[in-house]
Amino acid sequence: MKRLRLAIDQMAPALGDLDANFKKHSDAIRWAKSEKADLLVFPELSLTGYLVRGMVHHVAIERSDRRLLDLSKQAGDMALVLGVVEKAEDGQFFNSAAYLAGSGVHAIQRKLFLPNYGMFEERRFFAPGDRLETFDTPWGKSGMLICFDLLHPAIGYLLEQAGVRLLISISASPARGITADGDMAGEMAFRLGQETFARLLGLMTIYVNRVGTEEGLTFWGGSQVMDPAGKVICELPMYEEARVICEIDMESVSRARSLFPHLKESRPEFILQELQRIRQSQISKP
Amino acid sequence: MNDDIANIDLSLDPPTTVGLLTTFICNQFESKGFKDAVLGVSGGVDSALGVALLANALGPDHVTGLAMPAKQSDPQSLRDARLVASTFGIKLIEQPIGGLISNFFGREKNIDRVRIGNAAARFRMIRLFDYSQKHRALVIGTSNKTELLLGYGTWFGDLASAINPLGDLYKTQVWDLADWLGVPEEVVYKAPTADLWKGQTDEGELGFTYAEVDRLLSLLVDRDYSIDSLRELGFKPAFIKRVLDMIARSQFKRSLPTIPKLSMKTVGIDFHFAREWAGRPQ
Repeated sequence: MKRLRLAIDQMAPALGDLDANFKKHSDAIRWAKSEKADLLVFPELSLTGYLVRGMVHHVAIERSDRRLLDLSKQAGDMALVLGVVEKAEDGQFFNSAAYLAGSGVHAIQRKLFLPNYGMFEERRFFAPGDRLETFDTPWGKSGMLICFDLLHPAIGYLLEQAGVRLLISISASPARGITADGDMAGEMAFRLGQETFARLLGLMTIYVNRVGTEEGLTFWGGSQVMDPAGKVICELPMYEEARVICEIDMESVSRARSLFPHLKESRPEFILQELQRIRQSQISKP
Repeated sequence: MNDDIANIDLSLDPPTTVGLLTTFICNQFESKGFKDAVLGVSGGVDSALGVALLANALGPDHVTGLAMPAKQSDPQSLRDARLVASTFGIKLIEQPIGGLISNFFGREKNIDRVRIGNAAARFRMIRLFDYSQKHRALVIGTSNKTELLLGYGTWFGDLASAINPLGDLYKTQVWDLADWLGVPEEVVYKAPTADLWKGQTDEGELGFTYAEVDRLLSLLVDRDYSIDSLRELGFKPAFIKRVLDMIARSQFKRSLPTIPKLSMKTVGIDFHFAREWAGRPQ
């Protein structure tokens, strides 16, 4: 499918209240279906809220959870991306993005880089994912990243090598670092990450960030879709709950890649060889 | 102050900052299920900024100020508190606490200023939380970041509140935002004072200006500058030492009481739940 009719729900999950959040998701699904959307995207940890801390084992669900299947059924032909605390078979907890299509969870991406400095404490409560999942969708090979993962350039290289065309990033980024010019450090980092991934890798990029406040953290929203030419196709307001429908032309990925055919020069063997050499020299240092 | 130090810019874009604080206030009131706010209004710039932010976020009808002068408070402070309330259209209740303090100390002689100051701050806290219980209004704190870091406040007195929208703003940033939000100039630009005795000013008592200490704190706390780099910039070693000591000595004021660990899950140590915790699913 060349055209993707995207729905974004820039929402504020209720912290630790799965029932309330499943209801919010159902409401949004009804709205997006009435808008005839192909895909509906929610932010990071949309089913639980961000500061789950000690609640982690109360709000974690397995990928086969009946309630996820129900959401998928409600969505019918429409696909969903949502944020969930995933309980793995071995009992570990992951901050995951789930892609639901048809009948339940079709793909799951576990957050790869768990921020654990300053105000962040994700490593205390979650285990990091150790696999970059890519999966087929009607709009081409796709991948999902969770918040901080979008700020790691090496991940972009892996996405490129895996043949991804559509990148869906979900986020719970709190505002911080306001400057005299009205910029905000948190926003600037993610704008830079999204633009880098979109333009240098020739990706259609969807970034969905949550809003609301948990303790002193106020999440800034500002979700946006950027095409591979660096054009912002749609942008949502800062700090407010909002929903939007956005028409995406996936042909623009092919056009951008033919104008800027850098993928032909990606030289994976060279990268692998050099990475191994550098790593080896770090390890063998006295 | 030398040029290098004077050039450290702490200014914040007012629309962005006020927008974020307004969102924070609205979200907090919504999630806690409150519509009304109460705060102490001293006639100073911090509580005036608190009034301005709350009146913007909640509407002036949902904000009540308590003016609680002590006997030694400058009469001008109460006049300024009235001016702030009328500027932003909030209700101001005047409840002097002089009688409470003199009853409390009774016939005791030679009470030092710190004890009187602490008692005043704690009687005001009692008034605010009693109003909160009676009228279902959330108590709003107005301690700025400079005070919080230096420990220039009374533990469980003026430092007690449910939410504190000013807590990440240095004093000089409070001045800028208050001015931008239309706090009357005579309130913004008067000498800051705890108003504990006649002629007291914060800067006189602290021995340095807010402009100086805010620059030092921002490099020390927010940007992790080393002591050597601060000296190279021109901050005097004695000033740096004094400020570091004040921060360290007041750490207890920024913490809950220390609890000795006995069990597997201990409040304050590893009972990790956010304030918005809705409780365990049942």
